[in-house]
Amino acid sequence: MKVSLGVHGGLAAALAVGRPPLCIDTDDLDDAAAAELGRLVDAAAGSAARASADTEPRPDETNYEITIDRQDRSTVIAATDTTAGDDFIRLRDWISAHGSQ
Amino acid sequence: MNAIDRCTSCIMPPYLLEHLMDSADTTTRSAIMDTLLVTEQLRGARNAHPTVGVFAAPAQGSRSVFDAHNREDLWAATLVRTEDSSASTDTSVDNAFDGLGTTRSFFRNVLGRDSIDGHGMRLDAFVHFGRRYANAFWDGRQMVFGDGDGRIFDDLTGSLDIIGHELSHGVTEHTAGLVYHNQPGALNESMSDVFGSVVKQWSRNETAEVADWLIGSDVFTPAFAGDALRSLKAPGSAYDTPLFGKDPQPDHMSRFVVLPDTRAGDWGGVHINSGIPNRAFHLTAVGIGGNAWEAPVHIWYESLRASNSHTDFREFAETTGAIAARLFGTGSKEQQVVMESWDAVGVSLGGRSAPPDHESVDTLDALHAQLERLSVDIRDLTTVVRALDPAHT
Repeated sequence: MKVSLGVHGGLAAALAVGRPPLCIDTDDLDDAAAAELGRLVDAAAGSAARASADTEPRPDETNYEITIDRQDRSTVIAATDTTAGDDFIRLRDWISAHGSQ
Repeated sequence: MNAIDRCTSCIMPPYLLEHLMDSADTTTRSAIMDTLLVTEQLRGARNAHPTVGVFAAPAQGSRSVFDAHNREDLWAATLVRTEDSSASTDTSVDNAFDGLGTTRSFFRNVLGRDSIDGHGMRLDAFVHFGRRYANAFWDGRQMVFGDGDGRIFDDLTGSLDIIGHELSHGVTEHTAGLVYHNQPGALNESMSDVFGSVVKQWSRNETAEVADWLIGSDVFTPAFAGDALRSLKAPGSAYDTPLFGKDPQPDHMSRFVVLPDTRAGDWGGVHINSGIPNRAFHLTAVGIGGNAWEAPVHIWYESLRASNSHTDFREFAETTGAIAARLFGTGSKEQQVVMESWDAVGVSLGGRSAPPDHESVDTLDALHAQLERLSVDIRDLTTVVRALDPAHT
């Protein structure tokens, strides 16, 4: 499984335009870390109904897009500063801490 | 005179009244003189009658600051400062509280606007949002500030122009309602940069010539190695660093950046193409001279009020030209500078640079009529106020 996080928008959006996402491939993780990422992805995807709310953009709000590529399908879950739930935040922060560009 | 103390209670901005007093038209001068006289009478009556507050527009905009305790859940935040409480020991709380107050005073005293919605809307701010959260935003009801990541960004409440920027998004939402996409979105961002910068200039009593015209210069750590997030004076020059590259803002329509209307595309480059109208405002302010919070910001504010949710650069430019003519006269220095400024950034007014003569006549007639109605209204109000005072009955 490959997981990537794109961070867009915000007051300093111009700094982020064109920057590549943070990526993690479970093949590069040890078993414990891969299992933890799997649990976080399942939890965030399960609560994606709240996280993916496709509302009108709000000025200077940060937008987060997490793309989950499995062998058979690709899933994108998205959230903003005001729509991100706890599960989404935990996954986002985990990718931020462990991912690379 | 301290700019903060320059409180006025006039319905029309005093700067505009003073300008109109210089009009060559005797009817205009007479109407303005009536307005000033009656306003002074009313001001005297206000001093004598506490109950006059019932008739005056309430300037509330009460401030409340909440501590989000580094969570991303505003519902879990706690109230830490209000108008009735004393200063906090938390710098972020006090910065936000003071910044809201200065911005509120700017809109009230300079533009005659009572808070974000024009009707005394309360001002709520949340500080310490998230962990190492390097952003500030307006969520449609309140302002939210992070502490910064400590690496590139410091505490976001440390910048008055950013506080003014965020609060001005609320003003735009309650006036033109510019959508946050493509040119209207870039205009939305530009209005916040303009007001944010002018709030800072007003608080420092700086002329357009000496102001830095930078947004966010106070919130970067030394590691950023740039001057600011954006420069209204010289878009594209705010930073050039190994980590972030060069400031991508264009300063002319020929360099307009086409981006997709997506999250990754900054909704069509709203934070990037705002450089074009930003520079038009800077050129207008410097070209007119003096303080940006006088003629320039009044022209921009009235143009925002006259715009709609899908107004683009050219439509806004045409509106500023028409508003400048309405406020200061067709062919006035102010109107000429406005049109030259848009031309300098490549926004062509397509031969509609000046309203036709009949429009200017209509505008002047309308102004006379408006001033006469205003004088009548103020006289009526004065009569009501005097009737409440036993000394006058």
